[in-house]
Amino acid sequence: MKKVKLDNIVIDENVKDSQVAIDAKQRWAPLLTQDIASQDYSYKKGKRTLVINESRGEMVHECASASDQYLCCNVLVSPTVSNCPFDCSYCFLQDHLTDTLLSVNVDNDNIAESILERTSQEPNRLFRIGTWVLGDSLAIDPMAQSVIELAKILQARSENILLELKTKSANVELLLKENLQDMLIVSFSLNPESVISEDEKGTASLKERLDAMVKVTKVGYKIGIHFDPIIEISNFDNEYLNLIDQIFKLIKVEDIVWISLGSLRFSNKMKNQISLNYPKSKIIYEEFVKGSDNLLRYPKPVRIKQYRTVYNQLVKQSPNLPFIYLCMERYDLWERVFESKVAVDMNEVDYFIALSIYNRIAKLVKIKPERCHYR
Amino acid sequence: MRKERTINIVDIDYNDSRFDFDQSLNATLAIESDNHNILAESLNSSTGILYPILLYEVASNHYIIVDGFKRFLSLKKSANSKTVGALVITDNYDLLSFAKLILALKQDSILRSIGQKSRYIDLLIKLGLKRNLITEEIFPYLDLVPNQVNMNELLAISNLDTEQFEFIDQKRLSLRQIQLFIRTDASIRETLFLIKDQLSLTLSSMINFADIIHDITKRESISIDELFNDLSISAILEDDKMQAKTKQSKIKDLLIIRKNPTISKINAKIDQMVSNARLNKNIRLEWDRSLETRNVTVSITVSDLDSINQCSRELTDPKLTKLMQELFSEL
Repeated sequence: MKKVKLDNIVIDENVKDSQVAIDAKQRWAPLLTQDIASQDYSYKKGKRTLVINESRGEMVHECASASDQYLCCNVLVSPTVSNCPFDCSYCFLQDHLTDTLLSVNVDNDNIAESILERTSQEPNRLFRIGTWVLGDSLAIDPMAQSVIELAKILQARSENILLELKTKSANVELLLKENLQDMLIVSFSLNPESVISEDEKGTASLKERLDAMVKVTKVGYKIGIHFDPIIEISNFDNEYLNLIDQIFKLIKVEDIVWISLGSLRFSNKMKNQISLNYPKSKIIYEEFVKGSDNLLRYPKPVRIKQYRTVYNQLVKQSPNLPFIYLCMERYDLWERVFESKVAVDMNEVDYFIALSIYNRIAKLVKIKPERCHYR
Repeated sequence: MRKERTINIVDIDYNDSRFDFDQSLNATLAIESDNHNILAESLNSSTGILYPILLYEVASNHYIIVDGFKRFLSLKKSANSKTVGALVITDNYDLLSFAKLILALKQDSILRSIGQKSRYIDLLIKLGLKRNLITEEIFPYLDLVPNQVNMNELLAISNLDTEQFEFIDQKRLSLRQIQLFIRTDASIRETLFLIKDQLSLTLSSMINFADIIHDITKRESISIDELFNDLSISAILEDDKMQAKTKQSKIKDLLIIRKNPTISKINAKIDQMVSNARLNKNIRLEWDRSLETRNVTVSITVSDLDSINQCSRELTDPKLTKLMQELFSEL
């Protein structure tokens, strides 16, 4: 993984006494500035200024991909970070963020309060809360450090929350020192090395990510795996089959609590952004159709072929696979891929994921999931 | 630098939508009456106007509004004045003055959001087309960091040859169209300009062709010449008996099949299935040709009341049921 290079660090006055801010001051003293107004806000340069910030707005909400037309996993998300130092060509943030600076919210007591306010309303339900909605959870140390702080607060105060840290980095060293195995799922977004080197610039290589997966599972963390976005590449079958084989050679199936599959999707407007920000990327020139959520996807027969290829290979690995689900896909497509009706709605998917976790390792879910609590 | 002039309201053409400069230029003339009164009152206090509006002189004594459409409209509606204070951009207005002018007008609002920046850069690109304001120098005066995206567009426009430049300029393209066209390779634009008369291409169909060709050549890493060779397009172009519109349609079909092979193939297969089923002519079958949904519409034309019974029999015809089963297996 290329070392993330920061040009400037801005610390918000209100969080200057936080541990993340104190550590950042020590580590990056020459980069400190208070002049936020004169930072370069262009998409690529904005992500080289780190702002250590306090949270604003709603700090826990439904994942934006939830829709009537598409069946999703019903995860809640908490925007603890904003923007990402990596350069994935397909990243939706390039068309989404108005403030392009890389920022991490470190007022974790407040964030935890927002989360608890929401989750305490349904004490019998397991809430998966992703901290990745606007950026990579572990890309740089201040992000990892802050999310660990948040996890510690939640660990002391709740019994029905799992934080999901999703990453394309291999930056797991800080996690290894902690005992948050009953609070955190470290999930890895994976693609064949050819996709990583072409379209996920700056992220950890596949080998580095696999090594990181081994490290965290060795100290008892459970992991999630996201094949997302699945990208149509030449030699697709071999590339993805090899990827799956490599994972299961290194990782015990019992350590994986869920696997998601999501084919590439992006808005029409993003197509222009990608061509300008990443002119060498070819992902936008494939055959696409516009869905009812206005996102471009590969045609359904192509997606079915992709999902079936990956799913069939997964099934070959073990009879004891965790719950496998699709991200932002049509109901009928789920049936075509899994050859049966998997779930009637998002709540049921949510329930099945909770059950999958419970069945693998009950200590992660203190209360046995029951369908009636997922409504 | 800011020389305010007094312009007759009647000389301002607020219906000229060729230049969509002001965000509200295309808004309806309806303004909330309360807002209207407040604005009008402000406008008519002391100096008669809050600050001058920005006009562009498209012809002698003929102006369009670049900035201040609502202020203008309020003044006009108040009927208290027949003139308005304005800063006027003419073809003689130099670049520096123009940039400073925009900056001065907008100094109260910090251009922080991408949306705001884009709007002003859009404005510059459009003015640039008319006034050759295409230069990197414009950015510092706007207090903007030159953005590679917009710089590329500005430079691409300035690099167009005279014929292409004038063609685009005359057609009053929307910014979106300009962007689409500029982002395709120069070789594609040049080829399309060469064959535009043979195919009777309008500017918008040319842009559409350029977009499709751009995607195919990028995906397959080939040149437009290689693509045209593969599709034997020269044979179509050279066919003297074929009409230009027919040529256009044939070439477009070939390009779309190449761009969307999966969708084209499956739709062609379904078309063939429907044709083979030989349904009665009054039965029509439609499906989502993007293949995303499984919605199929079967419609039947009823010409007279006596034929209703016949229609219901046709809808339960095993031929139709079998066809539907085949169709669903494809969707």
